[in-house]
Amino acid sequence: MAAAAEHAPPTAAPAAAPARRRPMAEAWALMPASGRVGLAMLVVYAAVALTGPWWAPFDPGKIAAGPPLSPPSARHLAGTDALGRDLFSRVVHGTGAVMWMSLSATGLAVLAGSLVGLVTGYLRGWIDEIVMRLADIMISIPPLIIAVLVIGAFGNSQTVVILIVALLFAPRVARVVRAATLGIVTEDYVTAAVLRGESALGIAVRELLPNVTGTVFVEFAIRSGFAIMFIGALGFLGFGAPPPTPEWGVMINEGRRTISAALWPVLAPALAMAGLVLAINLFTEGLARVIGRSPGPATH
Amino acid sequence: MRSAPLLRLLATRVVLAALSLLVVSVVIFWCVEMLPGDTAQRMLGRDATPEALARLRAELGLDRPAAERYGLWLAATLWGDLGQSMVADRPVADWVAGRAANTLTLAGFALAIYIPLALALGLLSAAFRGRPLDQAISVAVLLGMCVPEFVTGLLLVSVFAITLDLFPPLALIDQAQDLGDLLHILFLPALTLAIAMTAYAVRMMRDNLIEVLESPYVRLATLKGLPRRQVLLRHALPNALGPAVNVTALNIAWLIGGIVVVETVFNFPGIGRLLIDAISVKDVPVVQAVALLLTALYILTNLLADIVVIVLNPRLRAGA
Amino acid sequence: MTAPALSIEGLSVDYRAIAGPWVNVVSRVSLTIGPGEILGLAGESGCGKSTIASVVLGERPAGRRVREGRVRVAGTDILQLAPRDLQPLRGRRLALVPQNPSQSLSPGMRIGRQVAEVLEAHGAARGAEAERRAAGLLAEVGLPDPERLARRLPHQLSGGQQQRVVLAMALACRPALVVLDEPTTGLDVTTQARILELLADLRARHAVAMLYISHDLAALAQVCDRIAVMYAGEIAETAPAADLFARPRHPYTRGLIASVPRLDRPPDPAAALRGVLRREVLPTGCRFAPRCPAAEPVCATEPQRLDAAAPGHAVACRRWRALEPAA
Repeated sequence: MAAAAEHAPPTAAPAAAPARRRPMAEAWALMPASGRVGLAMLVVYAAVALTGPWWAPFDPGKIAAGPPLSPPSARHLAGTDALGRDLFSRVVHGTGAVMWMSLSATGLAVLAGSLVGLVTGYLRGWIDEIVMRLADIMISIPPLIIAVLVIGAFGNSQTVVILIVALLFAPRVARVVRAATLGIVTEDYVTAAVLRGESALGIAVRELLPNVTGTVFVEFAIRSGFAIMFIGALGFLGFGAPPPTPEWGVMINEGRRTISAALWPVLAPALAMAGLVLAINLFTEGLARVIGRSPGPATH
Repeated sequence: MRSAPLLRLLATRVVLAALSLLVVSVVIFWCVEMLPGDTAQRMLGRDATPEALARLRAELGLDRPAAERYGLWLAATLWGDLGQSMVADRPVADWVAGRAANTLTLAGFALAIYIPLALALGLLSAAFRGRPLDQAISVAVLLGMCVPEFVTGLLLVSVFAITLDLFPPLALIDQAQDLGDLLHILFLPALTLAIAMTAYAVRMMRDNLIEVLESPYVRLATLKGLPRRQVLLRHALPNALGPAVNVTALNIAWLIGGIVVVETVFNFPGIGRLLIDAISVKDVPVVQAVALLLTALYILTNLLADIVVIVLNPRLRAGA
Repeated sequence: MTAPALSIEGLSVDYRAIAGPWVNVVSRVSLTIGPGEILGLAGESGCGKSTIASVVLGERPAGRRVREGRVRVAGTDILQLAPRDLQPLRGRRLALVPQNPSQSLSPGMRIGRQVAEVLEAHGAARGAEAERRAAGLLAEVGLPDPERLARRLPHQLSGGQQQRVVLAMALACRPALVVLDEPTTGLDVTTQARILELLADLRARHAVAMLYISHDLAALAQVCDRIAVMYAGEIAETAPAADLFARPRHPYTRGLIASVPRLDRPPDPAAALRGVLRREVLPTGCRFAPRCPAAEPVCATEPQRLDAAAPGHAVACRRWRALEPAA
């Protein structure tokens, strides 16, 4: 109600102010506890991805490291799979592949999408019209179907997976960034820059980019969560990283064949994946709160 | 005429959808072209003579340029002629139709679980905002969003099929004797799909409803002395449904990919698994037919959602 | 009925942001509205007018507390009622005409239904009978062709029509008290004038008591019997409407009146208000002191009490006698 808004002292979620650079400390202070937990989990995952191969107890591909399908124990923290491979070591080794594939795919998509969104949102007119219709068409392609077809055609390799996922996500990012750009392009400080005679590129980089950074960050965070699940699904279907890689989706698919005998070959990679997605989701929500933007329409 | 802008808006969407489908058909054709190996070689095996290969190529039209073959394929598809499977030697149309019927049954069952579940949970969490019930639903939703559908499916199998032995672990629909049997067999895969969709919809329903509940018209409805139930169901819910329809459309669109995964989890003889199997054995006509069908469904869903959202909006409906 | 339509005694209300400290927004406010009387509540935005309206209507949002005081509508203590017992009261004994009619009508529901709902909720009529009476109510607030209008959706109406519809809903059950919260903001001047005429006409016919909240003194002057002027959560002055304009006694009231543009005299820059209300630097004494042209140092430290200056005329200024113009 109006009176509440009138009297309430300034609350903790200010709208994204034009080009206000927020120091890291302030962002941290605004971050809700759940967001901090998410960030801490992400740091742990990143550390495991980077250092895991040096301290994981077993070689991820070593067959008969223990008795097949043995339950979790001190020697095999997450048990072993049907071939007697150490599941904990496989999950640890897989972390790098999973994070590399999903983050680089999302990074590429966000980079390309932001650029297109920024330019079309600023220029508007017929270029915008054509590019956005193209984006609409790309968005109207069912992602998993096309990904499976393309990977079937070009073979399973990390590069193909990364490229196709980036290609599928980019137009979606472009739409969001374009909408954000349209929202600020009529602001006075942009008009002022135009009147000062700044070049289009200068305006895009100096005036527009700093004010859509929040949107771009949140977009990156949301999309990387989807990317992990999407790449996991591809791996599960047999269209992910090629076999020797202990990628989690692939591991879950291998584990499902012996699920009536043992759940842990499925559970270990599944928990690792759910934890990573949870960390990203918590962090995304916290980030959105800091930036003062709702996390946006959640789509798979 | 008052409805002219509305009709134009709808016409634009239909044209755009048709255009999308055309572009996708090119992409599908091109991808299938790139599937490793030569069709004639695959059909005749390794030790076929070059003469036999050439003959078969000419017979299948494989010696013509790709653009011409695309045109022929598109024309035949439009006429309903999907060709002959290269692996199973049976008409693709029959095969795909049978599998599609299975898939539609599963999808329909999943939606029948999802829609009331999402509506009820969304309404409850918004109505009890900040209370324990809302918090419990929020945690469940967050978990539902973090666990991919193939994991959900396998966990359900592990608990309800293997440990408790309440449902079959594999959804072998052809063994169903009657409707009860069918629902029993389909329950776990349908629930798997419904859980994944519900998580996203509840989140969005809750956010929309909370926004609507803070609107001046809900305030006035309350201050008119209407019972809380009536305020929620008559004044708040209808105005939160527009975006919810959007999420449902996104969910149905997701379902088209999700079904490929869930059919694999449950070994369900549906169209999604047919696609995966056909790609692995390079059964070109089947891959083409199934990919095109799934894409058409996906585009159609999005189109319908657009239309429903336009029609639901009272401002656009009146052509104001 | 002898009980006043509204009686507020010593009401103090605080707000707080999430986990913030409580901030006082309404302080020891007392008001009485007799049956059929129209009381105007005037003041700048942020002075606590809308908070009083909300408390009277029985709303209890999170982050707000009533620290002390009693609020009775036609004898019923609003603050003591359980939410379940509030609902039958609302719309029947106590109604609101909100600030923004265009956003206060459900966008997807036909006008006639929205009016009929009030009658149905309180058992006054059902179904077709309720719809018929809704059309009658629409006619009563001066809407032409009510049957046709009843079938329309809110966005198909003009702002003035929407405001009349909201008024019809408020009057549907002949309540003891109608709260009008800035009912003419957002309307153009002509429409505003016609709504005010309608209000004057309705009170003449139905003798319904009203709490009319507005920052617009000129509008209040047209329809109110008495006016209470608020400043920073406190009552600065209350008086019969004519008396308040003829002999404003509080420097704040004088400033408000001087700020109303008039054609018959040049603006008086000396009396006009200076500065804006800043809640974070309120003095312990008279809250208006920092902006008061007549303030003495002691004003800022000595709390003010409402003092009877004339029959029905009270003023919360320790210097009001000294400031009286020599008559």
